[in-house]
Amino acid sequence: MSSEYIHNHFAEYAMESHFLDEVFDKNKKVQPHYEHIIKYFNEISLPDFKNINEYSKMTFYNQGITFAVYSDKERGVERIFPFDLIPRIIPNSEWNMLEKGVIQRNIAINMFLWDVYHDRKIIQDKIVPESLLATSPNYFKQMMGVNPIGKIYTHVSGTDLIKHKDGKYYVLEDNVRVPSGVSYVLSNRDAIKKTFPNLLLKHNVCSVQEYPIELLKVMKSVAPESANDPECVVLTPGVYNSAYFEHSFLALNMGIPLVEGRDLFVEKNFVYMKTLYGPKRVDVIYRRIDDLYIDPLAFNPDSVLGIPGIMKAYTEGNVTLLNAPGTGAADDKAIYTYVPDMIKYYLAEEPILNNVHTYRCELDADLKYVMENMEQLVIKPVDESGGYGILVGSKANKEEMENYKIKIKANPRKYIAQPIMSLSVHSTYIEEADTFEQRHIDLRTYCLMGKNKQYLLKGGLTRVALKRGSLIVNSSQGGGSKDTWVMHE
Amino acid sequence: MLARIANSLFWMARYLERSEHLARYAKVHQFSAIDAPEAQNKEDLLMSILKNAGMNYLYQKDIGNVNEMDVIYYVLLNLKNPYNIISSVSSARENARGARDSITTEVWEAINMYYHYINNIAQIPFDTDDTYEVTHHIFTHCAHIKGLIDNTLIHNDAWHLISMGLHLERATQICRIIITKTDDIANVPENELNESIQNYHWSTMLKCAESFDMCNRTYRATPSRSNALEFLLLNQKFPKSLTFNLDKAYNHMTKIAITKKSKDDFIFEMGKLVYTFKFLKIEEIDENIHVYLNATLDKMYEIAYRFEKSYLNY
Repeated sequence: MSSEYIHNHFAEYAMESHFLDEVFDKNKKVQPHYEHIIKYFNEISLPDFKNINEYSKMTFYNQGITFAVYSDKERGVERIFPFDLIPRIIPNSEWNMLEKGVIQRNIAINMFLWDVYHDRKIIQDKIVPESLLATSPNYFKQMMGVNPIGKIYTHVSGTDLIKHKDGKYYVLEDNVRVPSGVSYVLSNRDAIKKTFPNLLLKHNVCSVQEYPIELLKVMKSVAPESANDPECVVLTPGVYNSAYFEHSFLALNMGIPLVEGRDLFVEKNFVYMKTLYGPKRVDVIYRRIDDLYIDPLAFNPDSVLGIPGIMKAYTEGNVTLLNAPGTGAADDKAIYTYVPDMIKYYLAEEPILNNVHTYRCELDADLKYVMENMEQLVIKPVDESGGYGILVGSKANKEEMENYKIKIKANPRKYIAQPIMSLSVHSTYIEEADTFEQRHIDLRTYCLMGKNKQYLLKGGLTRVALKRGSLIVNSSQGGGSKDTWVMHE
Repeated sequence: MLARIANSLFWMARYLERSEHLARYAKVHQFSAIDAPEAQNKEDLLMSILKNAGMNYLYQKDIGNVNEMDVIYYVLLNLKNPYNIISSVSSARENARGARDSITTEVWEAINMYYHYINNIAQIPFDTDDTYEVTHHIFTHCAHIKGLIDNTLIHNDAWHLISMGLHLERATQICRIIITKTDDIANVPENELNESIQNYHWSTMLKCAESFDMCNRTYRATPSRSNALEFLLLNQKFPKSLTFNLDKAYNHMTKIAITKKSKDDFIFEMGKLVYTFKFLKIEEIDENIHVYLNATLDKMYEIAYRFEKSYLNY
């Protein structure tokens, strides 16, 4: 190709020096592992790129990877989750460290859950204070003494990581309840395959296609012993749930039924599904319904999504639930601060991944610091997810801060604070401006744990905060995503 | 297969087929009005669209004045009408979504694209000049989806349920078309009922069921009352005829059936209905065709209702 066809989309690319850019170094030189991609994109004219972007949006739309916007007046308006065409690359050496670190962390968390629902040694040894569990809304007494098959609680976990300006990865959250988003990892890869097949061919990228196979293996590995050919299902709240696409995607790709609560019933502590030909026993349920809704008899009596009696069937060992109920006790954001201690305590190893330094508002000294340094901190409720209820000190005005202080004082246990981490930035196509700009990104990983096996999906979901300057990457709050490439050695 | 999924597949198919018939009947009548014989009242043709869709009372309440623009828009896209085509296609898609794990990605995407097409059309101003293009897209989408249903699914329970839904719905629609058209003709004043008006109406009826070419070919003659009715009701090899569809629906039903066949079983009733039609002569019913077909419709509704109750309950 002659040079006159080569564009330079990044000539005007604005670099903010206090952030780490994954693609360009401080002198605006392309990082070696991104050279091919940048060259490839510079061979595409902007109008062409715009068309390709529209085309890729259309493929998501046609696949039904959409969510309904109920607030809009227009009937039947559906949106896609924004997908950015520039992939994020993680070099093999970095990935190996991440993989070891995430697995180490999740093994420790799983051991912690076994411990707190059995002997509670970590509490007796005063590593984790008892008050933290006693006040956790996600610690379920019903789970005391229950023995999940293979001692696995967190079959599926979604650890969130960021890369700080010091070039190191930090764990932001351990999502061990019902982490979502893995279908986007596979769909994003599919979209890149459709739009830039040659680009993918030239790079030696680890495949992500095997995730459903690995998940099914995990499900089968933890089936009750009484089941010789285990019937596995995915349990969804239904078509109106915003993650329904993912639920059906996983069921379809594993080749197992997608059921709703109303398809199941419990008889004599066994779970059955209502089929065309009568009841059929169910052995393993990958449930995408929160603990509190899963059984109206055990938890929220108003739940219409759940299956009455399923907790009893579970505690009797007649059905396996993924993840186990009560795992929320471990992804409380206050418990998070103790994960490095758990790793040392249970595994006698040094933590491979860093925690972000966290101030616990329930401690007087920490509370004082938080109150006095609010503008430099991110403050989060310990028991919420999806980016809700967060205050970013540097972005809040005086009134917002004062109101937030009142909330913290009323219930210090509910809040933690962390220094504002400067999430790394990545070149991202900005539709409105028809140009490429820096945007903050993070990384959600997907870790599976079965009987005697751990698996980390080689890739993950790079979430990108599409609003300029925003640090909040959640899809419910204006976030998009990128295909994430882990390179083979 | 889950009973809920079975229900969704059955209704997905019925709504899909219904949407196609709704569009075709409207299109054929709008177009045939353009060059109708002079004696034909244009307003009656528009009323025929509403009657066939069972919307005439609703329309009179919601709109009143019968004119081409309002009628076509009402049947296809007017949100005042809860039975418009958007609603059929949305229901087909919602059912497909609920049964997402039992159909292929190909079938799902095709249905999803059909839905988005209709929904986008509904957001922009509509003119009767657009009818041809819009309905053409509808027929193409439906053909595409049905092709994928036959060619990407395993021909097991799921496929039998979908096919049964399609044929049962088509049988119902064909029955309704014949009832409405015989009505239309009965409404033409006797002194005006010449050959060209008759030929016009029978041709229109056949076109509503994509049967015009094959009927002409079969009888080597232009449509008349006896050959048009015989063809669309009784031809055993033509995929749009009532008998053909009843037979297909019955066959699919027996493939799904697990209950014992007893005399009060609805499958027994269905078999009886199919074989009555297989051994029927058009002369036997022509005189009372209206009564006969209405009774047939009632029987089909009853059978479908009992099928749903005993198989698709969850």
